[in-house]
Amino acid sequence: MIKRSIIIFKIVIFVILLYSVTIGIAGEGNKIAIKGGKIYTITNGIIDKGIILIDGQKITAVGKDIAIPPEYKVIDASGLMVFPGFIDNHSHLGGLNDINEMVESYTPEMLAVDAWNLYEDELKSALSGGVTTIIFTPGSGNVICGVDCAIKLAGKTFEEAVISKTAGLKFALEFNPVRNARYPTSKMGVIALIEDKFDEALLYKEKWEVYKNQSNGAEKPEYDERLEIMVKALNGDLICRFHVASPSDVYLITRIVKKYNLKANLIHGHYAWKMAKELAENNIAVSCGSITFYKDDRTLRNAGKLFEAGVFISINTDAPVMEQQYLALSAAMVVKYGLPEEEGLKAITINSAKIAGIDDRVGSIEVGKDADILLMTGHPFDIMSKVITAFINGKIVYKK
Amino acid sequence: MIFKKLIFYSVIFLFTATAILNGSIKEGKKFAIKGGKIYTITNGIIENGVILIEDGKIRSVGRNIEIPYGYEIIDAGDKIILPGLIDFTLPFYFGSNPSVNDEQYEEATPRIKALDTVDPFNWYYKRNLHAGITTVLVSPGNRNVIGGIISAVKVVGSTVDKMMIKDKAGLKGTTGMDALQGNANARMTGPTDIYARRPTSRMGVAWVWRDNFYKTKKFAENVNKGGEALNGYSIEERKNYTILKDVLEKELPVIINSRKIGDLKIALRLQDEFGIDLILAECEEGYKIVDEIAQRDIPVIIGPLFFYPRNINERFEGEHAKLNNAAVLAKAGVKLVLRTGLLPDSRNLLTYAAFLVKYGLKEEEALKAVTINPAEIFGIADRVGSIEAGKDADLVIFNGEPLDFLSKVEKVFVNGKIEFDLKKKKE
Repeated sequence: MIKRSIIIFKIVIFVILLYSVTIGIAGEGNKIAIKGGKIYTITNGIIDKGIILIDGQKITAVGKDIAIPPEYKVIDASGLMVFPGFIDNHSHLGGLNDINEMVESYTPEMLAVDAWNLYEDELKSALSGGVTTIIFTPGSGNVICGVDCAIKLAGKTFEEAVISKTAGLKFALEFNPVRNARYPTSKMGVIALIEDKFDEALLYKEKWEVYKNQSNGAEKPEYDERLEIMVKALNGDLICRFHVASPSDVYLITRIVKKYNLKANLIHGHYAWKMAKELAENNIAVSCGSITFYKDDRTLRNAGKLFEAGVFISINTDAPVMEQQYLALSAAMVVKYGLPEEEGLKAITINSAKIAGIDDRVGSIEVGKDADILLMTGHPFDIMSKVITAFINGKIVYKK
Repeated sequence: MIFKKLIFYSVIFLFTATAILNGSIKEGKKFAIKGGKIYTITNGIIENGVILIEDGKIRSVGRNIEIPYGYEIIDAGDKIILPGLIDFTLPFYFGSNPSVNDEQYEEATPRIKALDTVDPFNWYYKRNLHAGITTVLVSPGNRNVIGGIISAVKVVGSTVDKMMIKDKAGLKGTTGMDALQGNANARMTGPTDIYARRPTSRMGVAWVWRDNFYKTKKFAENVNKGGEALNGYSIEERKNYTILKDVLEKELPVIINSRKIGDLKIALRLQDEFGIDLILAECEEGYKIVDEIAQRDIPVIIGPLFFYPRNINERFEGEHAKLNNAAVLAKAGVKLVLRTGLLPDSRNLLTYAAFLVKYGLKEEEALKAVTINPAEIFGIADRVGSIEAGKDADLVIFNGEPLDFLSKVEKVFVNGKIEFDLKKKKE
C-alpha cells in the first residue's frame, strides 16, 4: 500500500516537472505579433495599423508591411493604441519604510535596490496606469541619500526586474535633510557638506592616480566605498539627481554642477523655470512633479517653459506622494499647461530612460529593445483611456 | 554730373544717419542727473551739481560740468541725491528653513558661507530697494562661536553671481552668550544629544577661539612643510583652517558680535594674543570702554537698536544699553557702521540713523555709517559707498532730507539703471 502511494507520488512529481519544463520551453519560444494598432514608437513617429514582432523578451521588428511568420501568435490590436511602457523618473513605490537611513546625513553607500519590496496590489495598480518601469530612489532625509536603481514592475526573479543598480546618486536640499538634531542644521551646512564631500572625493581620486602611476614608492591609499561612489559621480558615470524646489536652491545646484562638472538632473524643481536659461546652458535635466504639490498655474506651466528654454524634461509622480498609476495624468496636466503633446509622451518614456541611462533597453518601441508594450483604448492623455494589456519582457503581465 | 552730386549727398546722408543712430543706441547707457543737492559723502555736499553716468559707472561729479552730446538728462530739481545705502543683515526670512541663519552642529564653522542663503527671488531684497538700500552684507547668525563667511551683494540681479560684489568680505563670530544658547552639559540633556557640548560658559566661548587659532598656527606650519604633513587633516579641517589662516595673516577681518563689556574684553584679548583684524558688532556697552576701542582703531557696527535681549541663558544682557552709545563712540573717533541686523527690518535703516541723530550723533556721521564706512571696512569702497568718479552708479533720489522720517525715495539707480521709480509704482 505504502509502496503504491510512493509510486503514484513519484509519477505525479514527474508529470509536474515535465509540465513545468514544457512551459519553460514555451516561454523560451515566446513569439508574438501585435497587429493592427496605432503604434506610437516615440522615437520614430506614429505607425498606423502597424505590426510589432516580439521574439522572446525583445522586439524584433516594427513597421507596416511585415510578414508574420506562421509560428507567431497573433494578437489583434485593431482600434487600439500601442505605446511603450511608461517610465516614472522618480518613485518610492515598494519601499517607503526603508528608504531613509537617517543617522548621518552623508550616505552615498546606501543602495536603493536593497530597500525594494513590492506588494502585489501596488504592482497591479501601477500597471493599470501603464507604468512598467520606475526609477526607485532613496528618500530625501539625508543630504547625500544613496544610489537609485531602475526596476521593472514584473519579472519572476529579482535579476529579471532590475535593469540598473546605479541609475543615479540622490541628493536632497530644501528643508528635508535639515530638520534633525545632527549636522547639518541649515542650508549653508547642506551646501558646505556637498562641496566638502566632492572636494574629498577629488583628493581621494588624486591619491589613487598617484599610486597607480608610480610603479613603486607611493603608499596604497585606503579603499573607501563612499568616496568611490562620489568619484563615480565626479567622473560622470553616475548622474547626480538633486531634490530641489525653490529657485534659490536650483541656483545653488547650478553652481555646484558647474564647479565639479557633473551630470545632473533636478527632481521636482517646481520653480525651476525662473532659472531656465542657466539650466539649459549647463545641460541640467529637470524631472517635474509630483503635480499634487503644485499650488498654482505657474508651477503647472513650469515644464512647458523649461522645454521652451531648451531644458531636457521628464515627469514623475514621486509615488506614493501621488499614486503610481497617475503618471500619464501628470503628463497630461503639464501638456494642458504648455508642454507640447509629443514632449509630454517623451517625458514619461524615452527621456526618463535617458536620464537613468537605460535607454538601450526601454523607453521606445524599437527593434532590439525590451518588449515592454501597452495596448490602450485611447491616448494616455485622454482621461477615459484604459490600459487593455501590458507586456513586460514580451510577457503579458496585466490584462483588463 | 548729377550722378556725382547724388553720390555726394547720399554719402553725407549715410554719415549723419549712422551718427544719429549710434547716438540713440548709446543713449540708454549715458545720462546725466542735473540739479538737486548731491550728498557725495566723501567730498561734502554739491548744490546744483551734475552727475555724469556712463556704462553703469559714475564718470564725473561736480558743479560746473558740461553735459556732453548724447547724454540723456534727468532733472532732479530740488531733490536730494545720495549714494545707494548699505546694510548689514542676517539672511533671515520667514516661512523657509527653520534655522537658515546658523549651522548649529559645531561651534566653529568658518567654512560656512552666508552667500548660500541668498535667494535672488526673495522679495525682501526688492523691498530694500524701495528704501534706497542697494547693497547688503549678508552674514551668518550669532549661534556659533565662529560662524562663517560674510559676503557683499547688491539687491538687484537675477542670479547670485550677478548680485555679488565680494564673496569673502569678513568672518563672523561672537564672544557673547548667543553661542551657548541651546548648549547644555550632559547632565541636563543626556550625553548623546548633539547639544550636550561646549561651550556652556564665557570661558568656553573664549577657549573655542583660542583652540582654533592654535590649531590654525599648527596647520599653517604643516602647509609650509607640504606633502605628507597635511595627510591627517580632513577636508572640513583643511577648509576651516585655511580661512582662519587668512584671518591670522590679517587678510580677512573678523566681525565679533558681543554686547556686554566682558564679552568685548574677550574680543580685545583675542586681538592682543593673535593680532587679528577686529571689528566689533552690536557693542551695546561700547561706551564703557570707548577710549580703548578708539585707541586700537577698531570699527564698530551698531544695531539692531530696538531689540535688547534680556535673558540669554539666565545671564542678563541689554540692561546697560544706551541710545547715545553711537554718539559717544563717534565723538572719540571710532568709525561707525549702522545696521538693522535682519533682512525684513532692513528698510528701516534710515529710521535707525535718524534715531541715533536724535541721541547725539552728527548727521554727517550717521549718513557715513550707512554708506562709506561699511564699504571701507568690508573692502568694497572701490565700487560703492559714495558718489565719486569711477564708482558704480548706485544712486538714490529723495524728495527731502534723508534723515527726515517723512521723506520718500523717488528714484533708485543700481549700476546705472533705474530699478525703482515712485511715479511708476503709483501708476
